[in-house]
Amino acid sequence: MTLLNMNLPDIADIKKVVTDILKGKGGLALNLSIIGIIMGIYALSRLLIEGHGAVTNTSSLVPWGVQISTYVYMVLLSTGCTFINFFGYMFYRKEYEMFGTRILFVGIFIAFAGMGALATELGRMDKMIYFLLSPQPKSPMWWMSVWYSIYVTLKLVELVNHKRGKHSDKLLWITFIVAIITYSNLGSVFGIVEQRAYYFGPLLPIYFLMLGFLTGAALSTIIASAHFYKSDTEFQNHVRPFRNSLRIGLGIAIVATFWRLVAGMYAQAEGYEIFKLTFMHTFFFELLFALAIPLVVSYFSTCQRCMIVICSFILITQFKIRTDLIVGGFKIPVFKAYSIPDIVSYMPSHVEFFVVIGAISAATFIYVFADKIGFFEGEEHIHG
Amino acid sequence: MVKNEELINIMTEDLKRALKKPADKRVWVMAIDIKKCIGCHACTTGCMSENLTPPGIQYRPVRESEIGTFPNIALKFLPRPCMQCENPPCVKVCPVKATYKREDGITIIDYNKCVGCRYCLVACPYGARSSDVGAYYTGKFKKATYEVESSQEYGKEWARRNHFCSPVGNARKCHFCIHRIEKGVLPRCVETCLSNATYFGDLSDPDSLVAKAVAKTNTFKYKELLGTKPRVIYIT
Repeated sequence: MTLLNMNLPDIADIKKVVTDILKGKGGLALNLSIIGIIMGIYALSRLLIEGHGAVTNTSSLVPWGVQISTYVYMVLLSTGCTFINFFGYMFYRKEYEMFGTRILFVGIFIAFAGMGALATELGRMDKMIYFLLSPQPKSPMWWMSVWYSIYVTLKLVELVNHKRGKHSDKLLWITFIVAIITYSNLGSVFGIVEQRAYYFGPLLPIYFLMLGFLTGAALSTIIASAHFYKSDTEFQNHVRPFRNSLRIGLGIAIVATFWRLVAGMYAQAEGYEIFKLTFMHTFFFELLFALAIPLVVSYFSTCQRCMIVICSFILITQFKIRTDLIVGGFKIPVFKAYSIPDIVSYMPSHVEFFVVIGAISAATFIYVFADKIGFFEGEEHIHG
Repeated sequence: MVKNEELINIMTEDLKRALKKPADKRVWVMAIDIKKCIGCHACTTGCMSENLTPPGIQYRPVRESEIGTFPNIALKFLPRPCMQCENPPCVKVCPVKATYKREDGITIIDYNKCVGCRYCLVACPYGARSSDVGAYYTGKFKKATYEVESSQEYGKEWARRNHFCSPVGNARKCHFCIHRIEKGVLPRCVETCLSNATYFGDLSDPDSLVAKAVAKTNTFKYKELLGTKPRVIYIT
């Protein structure tokens, strides 16, 4: 079907997939993501009916919880997809272009899902209009909303271009630069907060970009690996750019994490004891288990299934690391009164978990659904 | 020794004198004599009843710390209201300008604009801000009358009937009881202080009690090196 010069799936194909889903024959991924979406809707209903405070475990001591870390994780994943899309077209066009539309598509909808998770964390969602009516240009959070809107719009334009059988290197460059601005800006939301030692510093915006690249590389590798290949040679040839990006991503994430840890361990100022408090976790879990081991394994195991397992492992561990980073900023309270513990702990409520599951499931559902209706067919050879 | 009522009367006269000046000429400060503070938490309790704060929200908690080693030990108390910084980090980070400084230097929150993003809670170096998560002392379904009574913060009526009624969902903090000082009444914590440890008034008026108290003694400002320029002065 053609609409506004875009090559879109036929209505009959969409009806067939919808019918299959209604009959329960949509496949494991679709069925699981539907369950996840239902859980998300349940969580959203509880949030709207009972209020944020009644169903979440965030508090004045831990003002940002797992919903914010989900947002950060998902938008960094989206940035990573943009980076992979850019580097793929720049350096590996021949092998990469068959995946271009998929990576672009998934980057957009992950960003939307992340934004949904963020919206549920606001105490008063109904007042979001004030981002437009009463802007504060001094606030990194306000700039985040501006750049985020520009970024998503550019990605959508790029997708429309792809569906029209076109590809523009100029647009690719602009989106790449806007992605860097947008997500380093997200890092600055945390990095400018002087009193939160775990966040503060110029490294954080750069650290965010590096981790974004890693997760984007991991997700793109899964998408590329899950494709059908006639032989292992064909698989190895097509997955090469993704595998290389993944190894580079793991390498730079190790360097960034290591120096962030070292700088934090040397600091003596108030609040920096958080680095000593979390040293074992950062060193053994983040550096060795979640980054070094996948890097080593990715050199020795390059089969299709191995790549999917390694990348899934990276995505899961990075989610945990992102949550630890966000919550870690609040572990040591800035003011200790009789009722405030020395070290603050936080465990998300089931509603918060359901929001996370809902956001991830929504993005998964849209991608798998688009794949099943043939949204990506005929996009294998888009030339600039 | 000067009696509590006499001090209150003097500070009330100072306050009325200051209110006759243009707002931008007033320099409201709070001075807390930590040698006099006995850690009774009357200020905390008075503030909670004045502003009808829910569980988990105290605009003016008191930090207790034990100093020395046994048997030579002592308890020290540090009441912590909002510092009403001249250079407040919370104002810069608010994405919707819901928190801002008034002409008289008091930082306030516009509950009608606040989206509840809690960025100000993250940015405040004193932990002086809290999030009203909609908690009630008597449970969320059957609330006692006092739970839903309107507080008079910022000179308006704020009834916490449900989670769509501000200030539920908003950030909250000490505002030096501006709804009282605009009527010529001292902040509640100043009135309730049992040991006359809290002074309030216009620092730009050299005849005010607070200006005299600050001038005579050793003072410090909490986390002053951060450059926030607090308007709460501790007397040691």
